[in-house]
Amino acid sequence: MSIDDRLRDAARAVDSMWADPDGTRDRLARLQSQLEQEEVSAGSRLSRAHRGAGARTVAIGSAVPSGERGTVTATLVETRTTTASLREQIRDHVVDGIVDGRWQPGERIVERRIATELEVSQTSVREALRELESLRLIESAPNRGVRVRNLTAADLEESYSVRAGLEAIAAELAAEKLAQDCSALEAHVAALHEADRLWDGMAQARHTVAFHRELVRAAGNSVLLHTWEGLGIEVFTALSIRWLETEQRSYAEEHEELVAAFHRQDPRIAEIVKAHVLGCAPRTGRERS
Amino acid sequence: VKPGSEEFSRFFAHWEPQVRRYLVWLEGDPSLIDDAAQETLISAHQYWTKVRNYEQPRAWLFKVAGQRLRDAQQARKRQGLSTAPYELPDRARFQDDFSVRDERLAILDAVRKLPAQQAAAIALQCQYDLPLNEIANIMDISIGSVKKHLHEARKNLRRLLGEDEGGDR
Repeated sequence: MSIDDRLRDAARAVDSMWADPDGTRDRLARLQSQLEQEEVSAGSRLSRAHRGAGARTVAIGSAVPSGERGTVTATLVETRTTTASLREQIRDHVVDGIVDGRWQPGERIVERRIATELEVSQTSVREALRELESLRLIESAPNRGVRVRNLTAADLEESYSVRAGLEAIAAELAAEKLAQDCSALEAHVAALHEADRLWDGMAQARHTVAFHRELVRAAGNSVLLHTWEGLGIEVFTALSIRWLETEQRSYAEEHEELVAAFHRQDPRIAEIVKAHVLGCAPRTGRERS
Repeated sequence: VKPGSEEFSRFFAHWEPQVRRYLVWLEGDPSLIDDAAQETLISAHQYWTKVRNYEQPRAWLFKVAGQRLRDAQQARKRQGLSTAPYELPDRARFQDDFSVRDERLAILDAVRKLPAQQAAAIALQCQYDLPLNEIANIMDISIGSVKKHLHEARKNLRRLLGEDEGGDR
């Protein structure tokens, strides 16, 4: 008997396995009870929190073509540190899941399941979730677990306005230093030129974030830098990119203008930076093109 | 959607056995097949809004099933439990499925010894008669690679089962 005959025979034998509808029904019942158990323990029967009327809900994930799932945040983070900490990796995994629509707004994120999935401890997952909670991407309530917040454009806007304020302070503090040496910023402007030319949205985002990080770092104020980092720029940039899709605009020129302003020691530098950051924020009223 | 909803029940009744019939080519331990199949269908339920709209959910299901099986196998390995089938305390539960140890299934032991991709390609071709392009789609590889895996798989099976084809029957 040839290999193929034997394979065919085996396939026929396998065909008759699990063919009993009663068995299938039992297994469905088992799955059902398991899902219900998880739900009850999570208390997820409680109604989902909905945002007030009028606020536009970001349907994260719905606009993402399935072929493009991936790790936007992870790639963004790469430029900062070569080895992301476990917490950061887990955080990025969860953010990607939210961006990809794995977790819809209001859906529960099960700590244990992520821990199993990534083969890490629940403690590190909890740590990462806490960080996301501080970014207000998710919310937790006692005995109800962690849920994805119903994120709105207004939320993103709020984050951007704080960021604009911080960067305005940074610009003032860094003005003197940057007037003499802008090379750290210029490197990213050059990279942005290249990214613009190729319409490489990922590179645009990566170097935009890096540019602003250098700017804040140049201020030489660790409290400021820490606060700025706490806003989760990568995370929100990733969300904005996915949400607004790749907007074709020239990032290099905008940033080049900032560099020029530093060079000529523009007294209005704080205002210019602030306006620039606010200009990057997604707007509630703006329609997607 | 509740897992008990009619729509999901019908989906489950149709696809769950198929997922298992795919997995049985890759794994001989009923409890691992059980775990992987259940996790796969839980995922389908989790992503139901997406999965229900697929005209052919097979590619998605089999892809996920393969991943979940690997997860289950790894988890088992970590727990240091024996991977040997039929030695688990709750094996009685699987009596229905594996009670008649069909002789025709013997070749599956050889298939399971193959490298994972070769085994998967063979399973998809033999169990579901899928064309090469669909196998390529499910496995996320090129058609050329599918052909290569199928060829290698048959070569390895011949080696595993002894050169003299049919000599053992």
